[in-house]
Amino acid sequence: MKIRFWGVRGSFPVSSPNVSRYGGNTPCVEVETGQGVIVIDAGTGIRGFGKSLLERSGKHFDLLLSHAHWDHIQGFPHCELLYRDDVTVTVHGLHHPRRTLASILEGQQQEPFHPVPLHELGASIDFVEHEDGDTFEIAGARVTCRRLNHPGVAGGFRIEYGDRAFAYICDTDLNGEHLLATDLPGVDEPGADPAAWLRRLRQSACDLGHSADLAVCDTFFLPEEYDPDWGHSRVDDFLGLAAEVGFGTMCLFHHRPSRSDDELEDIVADCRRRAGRDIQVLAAQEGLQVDL
Amino acid sequence: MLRHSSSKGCRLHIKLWGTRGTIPTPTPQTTRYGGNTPCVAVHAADGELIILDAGIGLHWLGEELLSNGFADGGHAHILLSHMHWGHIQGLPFFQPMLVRDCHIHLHGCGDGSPLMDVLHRQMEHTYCPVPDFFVDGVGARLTATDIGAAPIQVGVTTITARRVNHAPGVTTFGFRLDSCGQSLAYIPDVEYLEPGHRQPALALAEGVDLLIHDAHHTSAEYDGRRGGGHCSDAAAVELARMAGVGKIILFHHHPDHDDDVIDSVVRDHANSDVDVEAASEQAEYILESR
Ligand SMILES: [Zn+2]
Ligand SMILES: [Zn+2]
Repeated sequence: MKIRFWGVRGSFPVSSPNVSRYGGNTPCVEVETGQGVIVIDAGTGIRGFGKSLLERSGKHFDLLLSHAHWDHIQGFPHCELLYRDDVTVTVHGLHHPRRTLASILEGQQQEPFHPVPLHELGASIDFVEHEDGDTFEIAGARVTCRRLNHPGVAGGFRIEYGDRAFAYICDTDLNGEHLLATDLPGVDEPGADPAAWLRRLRQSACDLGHSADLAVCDTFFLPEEYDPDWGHSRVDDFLGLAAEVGFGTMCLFHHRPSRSDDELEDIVADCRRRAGRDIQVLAAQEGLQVDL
Repeated sequence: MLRHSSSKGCRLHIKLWGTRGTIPTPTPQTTRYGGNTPCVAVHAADGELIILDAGIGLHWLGEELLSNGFADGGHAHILLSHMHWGHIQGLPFFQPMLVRDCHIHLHGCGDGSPLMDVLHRQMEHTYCPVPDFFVDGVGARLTATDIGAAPIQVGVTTITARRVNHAPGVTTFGFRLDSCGQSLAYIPDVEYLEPGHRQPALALAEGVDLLIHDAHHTSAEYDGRRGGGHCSDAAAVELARMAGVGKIILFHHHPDHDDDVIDSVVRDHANSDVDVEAASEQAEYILESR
């Protein structure tokens, strides 16, 4: 598996010389197996991915959407590849009880907000909705999706190909005490126990990340910046998880808009000191490729 | 910086916070001209703040405002040229929206729906985790006015809006600001496909000190992109010449144009009889009376 980072920034795109080394595009990560291309999230980074796949003459990819917050879908209407009628895309997302996946992307491309509606894109686009815990096969890889603790319906992915495993655990408040995920089965019924759901969602993150060779982690906050209502984790939360479930490499991701390159370098250095000897630490950087 | 001599009092201060068209381009190759989508701050002599468009640049303007008093409350008008994402996507991330004592007045066109309702759709929980400041009691006081035929008066500044030709399905405005003798026109998204399309732009730009104008395409690219709703730099400069403007700022840079491309576009107009510059983020212009 080859992992390529096209967008690594959280919340909104940041255009500033202070972030030019790590990058300001919102989330988009490509996973190339020997048998196909999987893309996780459609932040502004997907523009670069689309141009690259065009150069490689690729005609199909599977897009996994962790959730529908703007920063994870806003690049979709600007991916040139989708304007070609010889391209096919399968979009995967978690089932939302009140919105279809297609209607979420249609909503983004409605008048008066965007000039080209979804159904007028040249590419043929299929939608597949998955339940929490589903496992499916794409690009010769085995993909598992699980709900995570983030406002609304959001989840992460584990991709296994050959004997390698890659995990994408973003966006989530790993150890948060507020249940931010909505539309969980039974959660609104009398007697439902939010604490039990918090434990289940944390277990989901453990399962996704278990012994992963590379785990992309939501490290939006430093401990002193933490806000329990945002649905993001602290660097320390994932240092803990890395030790608990044994990541090969912990990859800091979804960098806060105000996080400068210099600050990020200090955080990485600090994490390297504190992570166990068996755990590598790196910060996701636009243009970075990791071969697993 | 554009200075017309220096007598005190009547000055219009303009700062560019977002210059990029369509989608933010956060790459090292675009840092000089900027990657943030459109947002221009205009500070009038009487202290009124008029913001033209709410692209991602608005977030960074918000940061500056918060450190300059808005944390305790402030007042601003935001004029929206149209509802394409690149011109409104900064609203959820404009931090003064979450400050109780701020008052933000929005001006725009909801194309048949109330402006507030259209903008509110951006805050839908499925898409946006930010607290919904469109709800009464959350964050700043918000008011909205649909742009009509009458000029908008903000303190000493008179704002004229005219519909221009851009894209189907969305009403698009250009604006002219006249503020005790100084004048600015802002026409970020426009295409002149027939002679009649120039009329509203000429009316807005006539004799202004500064014209901020769509130059999305290079002249070489334009033929293949005709009908897409945007101008070339040549069409922009021609409009400026016809309107007799003091200076034109080429704006709404195409996401595929890096700094070098924009440099060469500006060089093409070096010998022009019109003063041509390309919009670069953080650039400031001060218009003062003689
Ligand atoms: Zn996010
Ligand atoms: Zn535009």
